[in-house]
Amino acid sequence: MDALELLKKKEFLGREFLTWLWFKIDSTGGEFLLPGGAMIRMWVGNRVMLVSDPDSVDASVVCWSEDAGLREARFALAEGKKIGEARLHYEADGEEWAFTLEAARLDLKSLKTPSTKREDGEDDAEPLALLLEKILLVQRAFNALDGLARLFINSRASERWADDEMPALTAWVAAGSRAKDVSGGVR
Amino acid sequence: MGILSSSSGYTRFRLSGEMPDAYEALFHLQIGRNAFDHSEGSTDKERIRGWVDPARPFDDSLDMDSVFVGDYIVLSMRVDKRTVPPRLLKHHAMLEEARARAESGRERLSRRERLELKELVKGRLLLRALPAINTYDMVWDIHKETVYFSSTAEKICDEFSGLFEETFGIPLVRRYTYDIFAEMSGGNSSALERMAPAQLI
Repeated sequence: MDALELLKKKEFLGREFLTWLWFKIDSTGGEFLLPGGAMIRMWVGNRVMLVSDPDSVDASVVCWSEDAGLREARFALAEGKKIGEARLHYEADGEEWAFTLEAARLDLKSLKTPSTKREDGEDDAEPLALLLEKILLVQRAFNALDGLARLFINSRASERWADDEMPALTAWVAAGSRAKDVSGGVR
Repeated sequence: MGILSSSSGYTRFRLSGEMPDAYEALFHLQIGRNAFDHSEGSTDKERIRGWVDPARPFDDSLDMDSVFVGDYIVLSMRVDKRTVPPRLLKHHAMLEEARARAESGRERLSRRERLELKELVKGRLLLRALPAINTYDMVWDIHKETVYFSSTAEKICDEFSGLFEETFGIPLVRRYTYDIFAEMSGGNSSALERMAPAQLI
């Protein structure tokens, strides 16, 4: 199998990763102890895009909600749609990051880092120091993503997946079908 | 959109080649060669690109002290794009054809002559067009051999990796989902290759 074929064939892992993340956030309160020892608290933002056919964005539906529960998206998941991308937030050491994570590439779209000194109004901050500070904040977001990816793929490759994780994940997805009549908008 | 914006998209690349020895002196030279050419402020090219200082994209000079920052190389790719409105091009091309017919005393021009005239007119109009200017930042973590680029658009990422390879002689590989999972699984790629989609409903 050539590299491009392999990338295409394994795109489902990104969609499963996003589903697993949401499931974990719901079932553990969003706290993740990342490899390396960092603790983060994550939550789903106000936008989730779901796709019927992973190869076609035409068949996508975007769920928005001020309500963090995004129940319409949960309902769509229970109906068999897959997560194409999701807005995620996390907090670490009292600071907040937000980004949109796309399943196919795991690029960080619209990454919002904690504000730097200049954004806080400290105009006298050294430009170089600001730049380095911002670079580190961006890298920390990628490090968190890598840590979560490691947790997921280790779980997915373990025997625990079939015995524990998969049944719990399937039950969580199915529970979304009972959530349609509650708030949450689709547009 | 860039590293100092409050919000920006980022793509990660990894290097697919070896760093040369004594890279700093070599890269100084190569960055200079591929710096944005400000003398092309008036040009008949539709698209020009090159490296600029992220904080000063309109400056002629590129200060290497702000490029080599600790363990990082920080640069912006500036892309200037000029366009000629199609109706304006058509109008001016027709005027030029009429002039050429009058000068030659012929009633008709060949297809090739008309195409050449159109290109000539387009070049003249491009010289008068103001460019749409965009800059995209890159941060290269030398030790991690990772490059962060402040756009997720496919076409811009391709243009960036082309400029990067032309400049540094090292190809870049865009990080995809599978590639990230392969690395995070500690090289357990055979387990990854066997994985089939989970049936969640």
